[in-house]
Amino acid sequence: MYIDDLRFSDVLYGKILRSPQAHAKIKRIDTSKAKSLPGVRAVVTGKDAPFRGGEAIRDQPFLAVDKVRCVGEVVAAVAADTKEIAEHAVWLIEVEYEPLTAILDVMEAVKPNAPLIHEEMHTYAHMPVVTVVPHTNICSKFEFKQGDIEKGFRESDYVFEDTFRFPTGHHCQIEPFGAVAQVNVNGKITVWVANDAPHRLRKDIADAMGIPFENLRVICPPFMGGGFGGKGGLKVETVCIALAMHTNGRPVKIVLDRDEVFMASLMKHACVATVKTGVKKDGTIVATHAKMYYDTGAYAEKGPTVTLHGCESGVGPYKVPNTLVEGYTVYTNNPVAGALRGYGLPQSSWAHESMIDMIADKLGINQIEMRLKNALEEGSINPTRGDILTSVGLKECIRRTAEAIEWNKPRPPNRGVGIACEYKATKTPSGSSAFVKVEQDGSASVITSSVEVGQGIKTILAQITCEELGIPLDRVIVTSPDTDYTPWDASCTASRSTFHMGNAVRNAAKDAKSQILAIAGTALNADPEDLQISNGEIHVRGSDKKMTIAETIRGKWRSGLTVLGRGTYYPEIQGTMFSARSIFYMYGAQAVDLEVDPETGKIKVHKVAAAHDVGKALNPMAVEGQIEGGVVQGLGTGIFEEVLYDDKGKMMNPNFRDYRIPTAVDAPEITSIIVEATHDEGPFGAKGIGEMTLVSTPTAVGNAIYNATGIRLKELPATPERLLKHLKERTSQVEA
Amino acid sequence: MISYKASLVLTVKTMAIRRPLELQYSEPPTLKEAFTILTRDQGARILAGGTDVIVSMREGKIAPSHIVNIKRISGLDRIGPSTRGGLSIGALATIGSVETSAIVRNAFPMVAEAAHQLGSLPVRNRATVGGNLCNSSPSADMAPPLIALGAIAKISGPKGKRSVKLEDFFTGPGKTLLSKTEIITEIRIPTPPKDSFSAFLKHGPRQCMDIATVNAALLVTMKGKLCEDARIVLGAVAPIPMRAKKAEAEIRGKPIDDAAVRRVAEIAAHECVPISDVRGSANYRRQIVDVLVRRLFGKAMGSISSR
Amino acid sequence: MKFQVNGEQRELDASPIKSLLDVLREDLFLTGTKRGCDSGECGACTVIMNGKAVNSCLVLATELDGSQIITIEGLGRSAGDLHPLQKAFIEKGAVQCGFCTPGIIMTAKAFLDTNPEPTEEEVRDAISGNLCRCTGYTKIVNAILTGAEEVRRLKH
Repeated sequence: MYIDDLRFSDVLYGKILRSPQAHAKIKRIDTSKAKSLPGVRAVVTGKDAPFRGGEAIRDQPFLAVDKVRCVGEVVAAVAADTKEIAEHAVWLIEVEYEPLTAILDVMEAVKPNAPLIHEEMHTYAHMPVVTVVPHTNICSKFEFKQGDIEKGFRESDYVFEDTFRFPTGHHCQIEPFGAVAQVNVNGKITVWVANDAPHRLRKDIADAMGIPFENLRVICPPFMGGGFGGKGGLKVETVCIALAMHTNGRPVKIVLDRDEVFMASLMKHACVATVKTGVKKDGTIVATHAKMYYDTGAYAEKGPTVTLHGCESGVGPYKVPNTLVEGYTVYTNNPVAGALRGYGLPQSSWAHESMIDMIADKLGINQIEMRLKNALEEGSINPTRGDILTSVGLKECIRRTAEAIEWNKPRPPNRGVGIACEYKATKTPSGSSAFVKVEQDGSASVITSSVEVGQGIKTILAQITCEELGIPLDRVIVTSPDTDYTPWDASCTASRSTFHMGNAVRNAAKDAKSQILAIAGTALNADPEDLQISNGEIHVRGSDKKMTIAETIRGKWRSGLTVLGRGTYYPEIQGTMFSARSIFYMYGAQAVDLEVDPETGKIKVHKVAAAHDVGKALNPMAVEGQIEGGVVQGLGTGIFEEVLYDDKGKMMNPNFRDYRIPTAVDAPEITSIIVEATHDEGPFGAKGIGEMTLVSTPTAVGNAIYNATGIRLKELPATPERLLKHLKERTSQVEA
Repeated sequence: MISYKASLVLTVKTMAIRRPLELQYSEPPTLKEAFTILTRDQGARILAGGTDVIVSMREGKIAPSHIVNIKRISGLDRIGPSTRGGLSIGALATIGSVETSAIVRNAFPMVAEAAHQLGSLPVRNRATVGGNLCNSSPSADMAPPLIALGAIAKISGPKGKRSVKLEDFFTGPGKTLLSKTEIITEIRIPTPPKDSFSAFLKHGPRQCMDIATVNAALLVTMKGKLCEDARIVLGAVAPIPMRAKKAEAEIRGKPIDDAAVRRVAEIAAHECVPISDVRGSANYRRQIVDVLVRRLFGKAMGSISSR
Repeated sequence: MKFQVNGEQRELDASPIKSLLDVLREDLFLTGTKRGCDSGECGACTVIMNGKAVNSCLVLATELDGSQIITIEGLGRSAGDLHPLQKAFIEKGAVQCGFCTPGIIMTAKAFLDTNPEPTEEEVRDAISGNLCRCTGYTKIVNAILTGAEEVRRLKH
């Protein structure tokens, strides 16, 4: 069951009127003709729902109020008896705009005297980690510093500097965005939505509307058709709520059309990153200064924390004693950018991992050796936050990747291998709670707010429960989120669920188990310490006395009861969210073997090898699935996927025809390698995997192209046209 | 452009309607009845496979008031020998049936190849040859090979039948020489002369599923060691699929060697008139034409050396 | 319209503004077939119509008279009753978010009906019109090859 499969008997269909302008004042909206179309039940504009939300910065109105800040922004919406009527009604709404200067490039937005996109930015509420720069378009800035950067450069034998551009892009979840909202007679709002963080969403909307949590209920359908970070934050559900406030209790459903998904849901941050690195002759990195501008579009969404994470990994997974990383989250009039798998790291990786290869090349050092020489290891100091790192599987990842891709095998002209590696934090501190209830028939339910987006979290939580409780896998069910019943979970993002919710569930299972064993101990006349559960049966060590869990519970409570175990996990770390050193870090390396057609610039990827340190693979097949999926998404980013804008800021290719994601024929052979540097605090030693698998692929593509052809790209994607242009320029330079 | 300003006040309606509130629908069982409907109703639009028409409607590009499904008309989907020689492909033959037809694969392999590279498997099971040609996209995959083979399009209308060279069928992007009441019924491909070799190539960023940035077909007829005739057809580089006649003239009567092929390719690249759009710039397209034409010769002539 | 869905006879007043996909999901409550793009580009809506895999979003509701449609529900609905392809997808870990899965399985089923012993390359080519964003296709291709083997075995 996905959001569009849910059935409501008196549902109304919603349709959105979107801005055709990238930056404009709204002078006048006339909804009269729309309102009088038969079958139309509600028409709303910004003044009908004057609320602003946004977890990082509360800057995003449910519907535009006095101006629009990007093409596709919500200006008005209609709820009607059928989709067709809703669409016709939207067509009848007239809007008068007064265009303003639109800023479509991040570097234009930071120029002094650039027109302000959010004039009132300094009045917006925001997360503590966010540092707004008032009266500019910079909605947040971050800085990490270790050692003495100037001294570092002075001590270097060579200093290299270059600037890299990372493109925007789209998540392309195959399931479009959708939501249903309903307002009861007593004013309680229920929202059904495919969102990766129902409790976070509830808080965000409740804060925006100034209502208490208990007046808003967020329910996630059992499955979500892909998220990759895009289905977080405020999307269509706020428009559904605005409409539902005016439909006398009838639920309002909006499912976006595919072109709306492309143009107006969420994009990935485009980024301009300058990296300056100082090294010794022998390749030791001494100092790195990275400066990164993230284009967050019209509204901040998760931009600030994306920038933060990008900065956190901004110098790469290397022992660098002197670092300075500066990150800026910048408003432009491009569509809103937010969380996309990797959360700022594909962008920073593109810069520093390309740079490492450039340096290795100049110094005549092997690209693998250069990385191994500087790679973080157990006990190293985090070059940005300065904390001491444990559970570090990086070198093994690099070595095994190089081996799997046959790094040293000679290859014909125009064919090459490239590698990139990375480390990533998870959002810290953040918390998860869960219940495990054990029924009188010996079955168990895991009550959790973790969302099944396809990453397999329900399976993992079931496995953890079974492992801890000693019951078979087919006797566990895992709930879907409903904020009225399932306890707080920060989110299913940041690759945090296996670790945080896994620990919470494990604690809950342990709690349930100790209650059961206490009862069984009494019944079997044994010390609970001597009891073990396997396959639903409790055994006394060293004896053949046993009883089932069902017998234990029914024996104690003859007319029935449930054993309720509760568990919480919140790392013992002070500070607000995202402010602290990470509770765990993920490490990985990926290598791409590709061939370039020198006459057309077309790339064929032959093979990818990817090694990821996951702490402990609780479900190896699922880990492989994450690696394979992330790699192919990364190849799309590196080679095919390009958002094309016209000169007015409108996306020209909002469809799968011309925004090309890899097909089964484009996907190469992929070798997935699981590395396990176990983490003391992770459930059974596990850490995380989800995002890492997309981070290094685009850069590995760039590095492979260099090794294959000598072309060093500073921007992506490596479309045939872009590559051919570089190849031809180089030929004419050689001939000249 | 990275920033711009305009100072007028605009009153804007949104995107075009994509879901009509109502739509008339007919399924004429005969051509005659189809003509009657088309003559009577100006807003009528023929529906064959639907893989272009329905998509165009959903994107708001066309808004017919009446859909005329001609798939119930029998006899228009046959693939087999033509009574007049060569092969007859009914306009309603699906691209999938062309792709898998033994007779097409044996006698006209490049037509089967082009069919295979069109869209995806589910699309090919509905899309028709006639539909691909009538949609008249400059990048239509079926057009270059059929034009190179000298195909004839048979057309029926209320006033009777006519035949035109497929080469003359297209009049502009999205436009053909069909009148509002005519229907293409058959493509006849004459048997190529003895010692003819053919090839089709399509270029896009991915390995499949792309709308061509450039596609091209070649039919070469040899007389001994000399090229007696060459028909080079390019797609997606002009308002309609075009024959590169200057390039053809360059090789006619000459031996086909590397230097000659390079010259032909260069002329073809200059002869075409591509535009820049989301799929590629004009400059890039010209470069690809050069490459594809050279490779077409290599591919076609490769089938000589394999004999 | 009188047509058959998963072996059951159905009758409906159809409108040309609706597609087969709309009919399946909204009139017949068969929500296994998914809407991904409504343009025949993603393949999530693939069903088998008169023996061939088609994008149900591009078939008008009024074209259905006399047709035989098979949807994912028609392949196997419950744990004891799954088609070898469905079993293989589960066993080989070929399902992540699952949204593309029904479409891919229907394409694969129709493809295997005409090519029961395909190579890996042929499988990838056959499903090239079914986009998946989660899995990277590796396990999907494995699952289809495994399913094909099982189908062959069951036939003998």
